[in-house]
Order: sequence, then C-alpha cells, then structure tokens
Amino acid sequence: MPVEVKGALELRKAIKKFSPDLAKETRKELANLLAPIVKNARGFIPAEAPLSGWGKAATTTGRFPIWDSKAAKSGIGYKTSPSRPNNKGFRALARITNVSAAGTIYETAGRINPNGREQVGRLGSKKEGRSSNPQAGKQFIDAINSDGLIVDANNQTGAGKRSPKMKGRAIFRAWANDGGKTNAAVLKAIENSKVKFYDALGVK
Amino acid sequence: MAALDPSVVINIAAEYTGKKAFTQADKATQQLSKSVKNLAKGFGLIFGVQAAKQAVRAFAADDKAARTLSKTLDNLGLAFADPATKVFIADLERQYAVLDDQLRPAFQKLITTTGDFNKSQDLLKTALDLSAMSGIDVVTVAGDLSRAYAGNTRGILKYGLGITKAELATMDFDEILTRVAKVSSGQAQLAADSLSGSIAQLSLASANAAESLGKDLIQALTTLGGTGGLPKTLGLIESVASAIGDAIVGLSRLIQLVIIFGSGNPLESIKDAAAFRKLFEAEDAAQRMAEKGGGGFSSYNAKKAADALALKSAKALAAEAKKAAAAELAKTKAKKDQAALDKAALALAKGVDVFDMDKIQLNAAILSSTQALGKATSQTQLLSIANDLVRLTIKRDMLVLEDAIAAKDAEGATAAAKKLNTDIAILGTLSGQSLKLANIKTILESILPKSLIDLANLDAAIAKIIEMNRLQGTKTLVPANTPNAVIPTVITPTVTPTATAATGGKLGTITQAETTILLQTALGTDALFEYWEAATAAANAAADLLDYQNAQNEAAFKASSLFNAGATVNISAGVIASPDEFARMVQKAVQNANRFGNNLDYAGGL
Repeated sequence: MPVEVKGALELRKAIKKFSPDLAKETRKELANLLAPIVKNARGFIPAEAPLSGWGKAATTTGRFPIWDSKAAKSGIGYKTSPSRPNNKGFRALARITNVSAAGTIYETAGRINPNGREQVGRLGSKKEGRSSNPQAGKQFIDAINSDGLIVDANNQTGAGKRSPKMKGRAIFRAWANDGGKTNAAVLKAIENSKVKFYDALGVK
Repeated sequence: MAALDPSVVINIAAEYTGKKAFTQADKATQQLSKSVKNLAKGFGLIFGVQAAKQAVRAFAADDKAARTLSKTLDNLGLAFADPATKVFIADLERQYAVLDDQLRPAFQKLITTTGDFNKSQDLLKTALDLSAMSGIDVVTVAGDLSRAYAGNTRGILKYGLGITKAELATMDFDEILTRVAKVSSGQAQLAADSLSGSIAQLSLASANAAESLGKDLIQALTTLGGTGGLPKTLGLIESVASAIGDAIVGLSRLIQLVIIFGSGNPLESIKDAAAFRKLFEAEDAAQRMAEKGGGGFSSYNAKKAADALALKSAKALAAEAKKAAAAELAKTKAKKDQAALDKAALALAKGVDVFDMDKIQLNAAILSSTQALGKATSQTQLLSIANDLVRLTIKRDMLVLEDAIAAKDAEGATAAAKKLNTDIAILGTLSGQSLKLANIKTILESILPKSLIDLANLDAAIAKIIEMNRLQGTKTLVPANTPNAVIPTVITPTVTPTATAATGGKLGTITQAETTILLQTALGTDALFEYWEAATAAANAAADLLDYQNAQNEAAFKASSLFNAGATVNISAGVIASPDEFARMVQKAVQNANRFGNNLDYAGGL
C-alpha cells in the first residue's frame, strides 16, 4: 500500500505550468531515485528460461507467452508521471512497472496459489487450470522458484489485511531489498520540489 | 508496448482523487447536459459581454463562410446560383437542424468537385443522411463523397455500408450512391424528428439568433467606437471582459475560503486557508510573470539574476581562455619535446649505423659455427652445423641485400640477390638431406675463406718443389765449372712445331696461348705435353749457358791487369746540388719527417 499524499498532483500541475524547468528537474530527480531499483530488479530476471521448454517457439497455436530474457528485462522500468486513477480513486505519483508478458508471469507465478491452481482439464474456468496434468501448476511454480522465490514487499505495519499484490520475484524483491529508502527519498524529493517552487515564486 | 498490468506495479506516493465510478458518472452527466448548456449559453447571450463577443464571432464566421461560398460559385461560373444556394442551405438547416456553418463548407466541397449545382444539392442531402447514420459530421462525409466522385473511394469504407474493399474498387460512383441511399436514406429526417434533433433545432435557433445579434452588435459597436471604429470597440470589450474575469476569480477564491472555514476544525481551517492563500498568490505571481514575458519576479530580482548570469558567463569565459592558454603552452612544450626526441633519434640512428648489432651478432655466430665445425665428431653434427652456417650466411646475404636496397645500389642489390638465391638453394639441398657428405665438404669449402698458411697447402708446395728438383736431376746439363763443356746452341724438341697456314707460316712470332691452341688442335694433348717438356729443358739449358758465360767473364776479369793493378775507378755522377742547397734539402726533409711522420717514425718523434 503506497503512502498517501495530499495536494501533490496539484503541486506538480502548478510546477509544470509555472516553472517547467523545475518540473523537469523534479522528474529527473525521481528518475535517478528509481533507476537503481529497476537495475536491481532486472538483475533478478534469469538469463535462461526458468523452464527449458519455455524459451522455445511454440509448435502449436497456443497463446502462452514465450520466454525472452531480454524482453523480460527491458519490460521492467519506471514512470515519473502520475498514473490514471485506479478503481479505488488513487493516482500514483511515480511507479515501478513490469510490463512484459513473460516477465509478469515470472514475477507473479504462485503468489496467489503457491501450489498452483487446480487443474481440471479443458472445461476449467478462468480461476482453474486447464491442463490434463493435475500437477502442472505446481511443477511450473516449483521450476520458477528454483530461480527465485517470491518476496513480500509489503511494509505495512499494524492490523489489517495485507495485499497479496505486493509480492513478486523481480520488482517487488528489489523493492523489498531497498527497505523503504527509495520511497522516503521520493517523498522527500516531492517535498523539496514544493519548497523550490515556492521559493521560485517568492512566496513565503 | 504491452499493457500495464495493475497487479505488477509498485505505486509510490499515491493520492486519492475520487473513485473512478464517480468520475465516470460525472462525465456522463456532463455529456448529457452539454447540449442543454449550449442551449442555455445561446439564450443567455444578451446577459454578458463574453456572450456578446461570441455573437459577434458567430456572425463573423457565418458571414465569412457565406462569402467564401459565393466566391466559389462565382469562380465556377455559377454565380447565378448563389441566391438559390442560400435558400437551399437555409431550407436544409431548418429541415434537418444542421447549422449552416457545416452545410456551407460541405456544399462548397461538393460543388467544387462536381461543378454541377443540382448534383451538388442531391449529394449534400445524401451526405446529411449518411452523416446522421454514422455520426460523422457532414463536412467530412461531403469530403469523402467528393473524393469518391473523383475516383478515390477509400474514405467510403468507414461508413460500414456492407461493401468490401474489393467490391468498392469495382463499383462506380452511381452504384456507390445507390448503396449509400439504400442504407442511409431518411436518416437525416429521422434524426431531426428525434428529441436530440429537437434540441439541435433549439441550438440552431439560438445560434442563428446569436448570429443575428452579432450582426446588430457589430453595427452598434462600430457606432460606439466613434472615429476609432470597430478596433477601439473590441479593445473596450476586452478590458471589460478582463475585469469581469478577475472578479469571477476573486469570487471563486472567496467561495473556496468560505468552504474551508466551514469545514469544522478552526485551527485546521486557518492552516488550510493560509496554504490556499499561498497557492493563489503563487498563481498570481506566475500569471504576472507570464504576462511580462517570462522575465524576473521583480525588477530587483530580475537585475540580480541578470547580474549573476553575467558574472557566471564572464567566469566561464575566463576559465575557457585560461584553458586555451594552457593547451597552447602544452602544445608548444610537446613540439619542443618532439624536436629533442627527433634529434636524439637521429643520433641514435647514426650510432646504429656504426654499431650494427645484427651484423656483429651474425659475424659472431658464423665464427662460432665455424669453430664448432672443426669440433664436430659425427656426420650428423656436421650436417646440422652446416645447416646453421648456411642459414647464417643467408641472413648475412639478406642484410647485405637490405643495405644495397636502402642505398639504392642496383648492381649491389642484384649481386646480393644472386648470392642469396644461391645460398637458399644450398640450404634447400642441405635440408633435403639429398647431398653426400663429400659434396657438403665441397660446399663448406666454398663458404669458408681460403687459408693461405695451411698444412695441406704447404705439403702441396713441398711436393711441387720435390717434383721440380726431380725433373732438374734428370736433365743432361754441362757442369758449370767445366770450361770445355759443349754448350748447346740449339735445343731441338722431340716434336718440332709445324708452321701451318693458320699461323701464316710464322711460328716464331705467335704467342704462347696461340701456340697452345694450335698444338692442342693439331697434335693433341700428349704431343703438347711433350713439346712443353722440351721447351722447359731448352729454357733451363739457356739459363745454364748464361751462368756459364758469367762465370767465364768473372774469371777473365780476375785474370786481367785491371783486376791485379788495384786501380781506382772514379765514377763521375755529376753535380747533385750546391753544399748550401743540399744542406737546406736535408734540413727540410728532417723537418717534414718530424712534422708529418713517416713509415718508421710518428709525427714529432724526432
């Protein structure tokens, strides 16, 4: 769960409108803070396909994404522009993303069902696997776990349910390893941009 | 680019902006009320200066479109149709609730393409139907129809007429129109009759009212501007609008402050109000800055910033100049160093010429191999050393050749190359192991320098001497101390050479070589050898005769009175020089010997 801030979006709009140079500087500062996390996360992507057959071109017309280490690594990145609101009405000021299909699978496989979904054959629903091998999901996750285990990057303290969406093998692992330092630095950078903006306008 | 999966994202510093559903609902409401708002705007024209400006602009745009269409018709030679066109546009506008702002450009496109007034009217009606069916504005539809009329049917595809691209390519324009009419006929009328159409008709009426009002306002405001005319009036309107705008902004801020203070906690309200005040002050400052053209925040700050910038630039320039001077200095030093290095390299080259390490090593190696050759105990060693020696010789040949090439000595280079080829051939022979050791010895002998003082040579010389003595011992010579000995006057060889026609009958005048050749050809080798032996004997006899005569002369002299009288014989050599002159010559010779030295004494040694 990200830290909630107030007025930051308006602040960034105002900076962009009245002090474009400061806006550019702020974006650069955020980029410098997020780049090391991205670099670390890319390092967690294996150079070879976690499963030997995953990297081979499909012989059938299946839609399962083919593993490509290069694409999986380059799919990890960051954005310093505010996101669109999510379904709960929150907009993030900065993000670290993993967008490649294979990279996403590597990141998240097994974080909801560590032993794989139940495999019920071809007539299975979306929540169920459709393999005729009942152990397919487990075997897949076990193979990926041999390259990297899922790490919980949730730093929420106190009571309440923890979101399973802050777990993963690449970006979440890098985020967990960072220990919240980058998060604090980003917030500080935003605060600094506010101070600089007021200084630039001569507002006390 | 792959789509962003919201479940594989780390969001940093999120801000709550309201739920998406609320936003969607708000958007939908806004869309629904948009036409109503436009309508209200239309009806509310007379209530504000902004609305008045809009009315003026609406009239201006409408007037411009009308004039453009009239001019187009005029250019196409259809000026007669201008009134009818205006009526037609006005009728369509009323019938289908489509603004003339759209109808005029659409009609203009069609008439420009077809050049036919009636055809353009029909096409515009078709375009209205198609527009109503597809939701695309009538100007775009008219444009697509124009292009289709000219043969470019690609734009028609997007209307979903149920025609494939291939079919469309085979259809002519009439067939396309038939298809369009079949699909969209009556759609425009249907749209005009619907609720939406009714609202559109209201908007149309208000727009026309605005245009009408605008026309009147132009007239009125032109009068209001007096001698300044319309421009002055428009400036006045701008000023009034700006003042009203400022008032509206102030009012909105006041409302915002009221909302803040009405939110509950007074302390929080005061803090929020202060923050809000800061924000709108910042906005005002930025607005002022923008209006001033992006200068400083105040004249003092601007001057300070400009001064700082100038100082920074001056410092940067000074640093650049310093860097350039340092670079120039470094370049000069480098040149100086290079010159010194070149000089040293020249000296070194001279030294290398004198002290050629390659040649020294090569000679040493050859010497060493030569010595090793003498110590070789087996044939294999001999062969190996011979190989090494030949290789060294080749290396020496190469050096000689290189030197000759460097000196551009063509003759020397040719000779060196020939020698090199010979040595390479020898090495090839040795390496091939196909030569006998005896031949190797011959080769070695050809390589090694001849030694004059050698035991074998001495032995050979002694053998020659012994042979000569032996030959002398076999001759029948008259003893030297025998006065009565018979001195042969003629020595006749065993085989007498014969004068032939080739010699012209002059045997005694031909040379020895000629004689040899003649004898070889005429008599053969054996006869030649015999002849030479006879000739040698004759020569020896002549020498003995001479010795004998000398002895006789000496004996006669000793027996004469001249020898026994002991007389002094004076030999006059003439005058060599005067005593003084002779003394000077001797003195000069001594001085020269002392000054320059000679083969016995060094200079200054006397």
